[in-house]
Amino acid sequence: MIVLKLTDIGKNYKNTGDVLKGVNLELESGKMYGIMGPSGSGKSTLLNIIGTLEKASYGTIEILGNKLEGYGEKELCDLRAKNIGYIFQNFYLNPYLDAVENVMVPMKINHEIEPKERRKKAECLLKKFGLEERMKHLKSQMSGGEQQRVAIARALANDPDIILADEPTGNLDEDNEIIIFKTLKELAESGKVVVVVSHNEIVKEYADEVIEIIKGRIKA
Amino acid sequence: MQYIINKKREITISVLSLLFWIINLIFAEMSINMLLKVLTAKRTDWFDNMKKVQITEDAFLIKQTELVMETIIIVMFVIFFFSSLTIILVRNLQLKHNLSEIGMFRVLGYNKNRLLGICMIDVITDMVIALPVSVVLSTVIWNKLSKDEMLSFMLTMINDTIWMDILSYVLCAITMMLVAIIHTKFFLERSLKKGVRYMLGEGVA
Repeated sequence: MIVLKLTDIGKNYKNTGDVLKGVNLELESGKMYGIMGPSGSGKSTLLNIIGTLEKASYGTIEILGNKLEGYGEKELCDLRAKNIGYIFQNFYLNPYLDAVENVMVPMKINHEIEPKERRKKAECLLKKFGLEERMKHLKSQMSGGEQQRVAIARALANDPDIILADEPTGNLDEDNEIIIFKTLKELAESGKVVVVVSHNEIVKEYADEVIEIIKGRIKA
Repeated sequence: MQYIINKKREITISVLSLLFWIINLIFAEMSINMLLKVLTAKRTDWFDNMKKVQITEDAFLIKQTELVMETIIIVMFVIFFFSSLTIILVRNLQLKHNLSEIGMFRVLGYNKNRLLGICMIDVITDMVIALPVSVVLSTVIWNKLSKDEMLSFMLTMINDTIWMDILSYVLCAITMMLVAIIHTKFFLERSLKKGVRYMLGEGVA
């Protein structure tokens, strides 16, 4: 099933000119996609456009069959809250919340899960990623790998169809790198679309498809 | 925001914020009150009287007192503006503290307008609580100061009217609320943009 469809997507900035040009993509559920390319090639911009954080200068995006043209801030917020999970290189966990609370944040924003159920679900997700001993720990009390696993659990809190990861292993050692990529692969196998932007060659081992971007264009 | 940030932190920030509101309102009320009184006093009559008085020790004292009073008013205004600034900073501490947090809220799908609304409610709630407290406190302080020989000298020259007190409170309350709301709105919008950019690895510059 095609979850994400990008047709002739382009992005240009006043200062830097064209960052993306004529990007056409169809991303299917149950697959893990790796986006690779040199620095400044436009891969992060592409991820941000897919994640509705940035608007394309031209072209159309369809997510789950819905064209995003005419979507306002509110609709985009709802879409992000329900359908998209983000994972970042720097984890971005709230330093004042423990692991469980961090995972609960998206559920609070989405409001679709009953308040009583939120904690249970957050604990369940953390257990799934082997973090049962870290539930009450703050960001500062966890290792990089653990923080990233909490961030993955947070990305899954609302059971989104799309998982976007921007250099998810950029700050991790080799062992944790493998754990994270295996986890992302498992998520793809469970039926989600996983898009990973990475410099790391290891992504080629796990991704079902590798999309190479050079100077804003997808390499054929 | 208060529904998301943890409770201890929120309570600390709220208490600090309220405290600064109260302090600010006291200074604001006092300075505006004093300024209104001085501005509306029959200064012409007063100066006419001064002219009639020969250069005596008393006249020298009057001139000196006038100078001191003007200085106090200026100092109070400076304090008023600085404390206003402090309040706004404290009120926004939760937002300013960590830009990536704000960015994360947006990334997670939190509606910007809702976030702005909550911040506005915070500011207005603080005002509503802080206003009566500051009225009581400033009255106490004002009364104590009026015992001072210098201030009582000035006060005897000015017709102290209730409406002026009320007007000064209303003026400072409206001004402070507007400043805080406008500042919160722009600050938050800027922070949201910066926060998202920061998270996307583009820095906060």
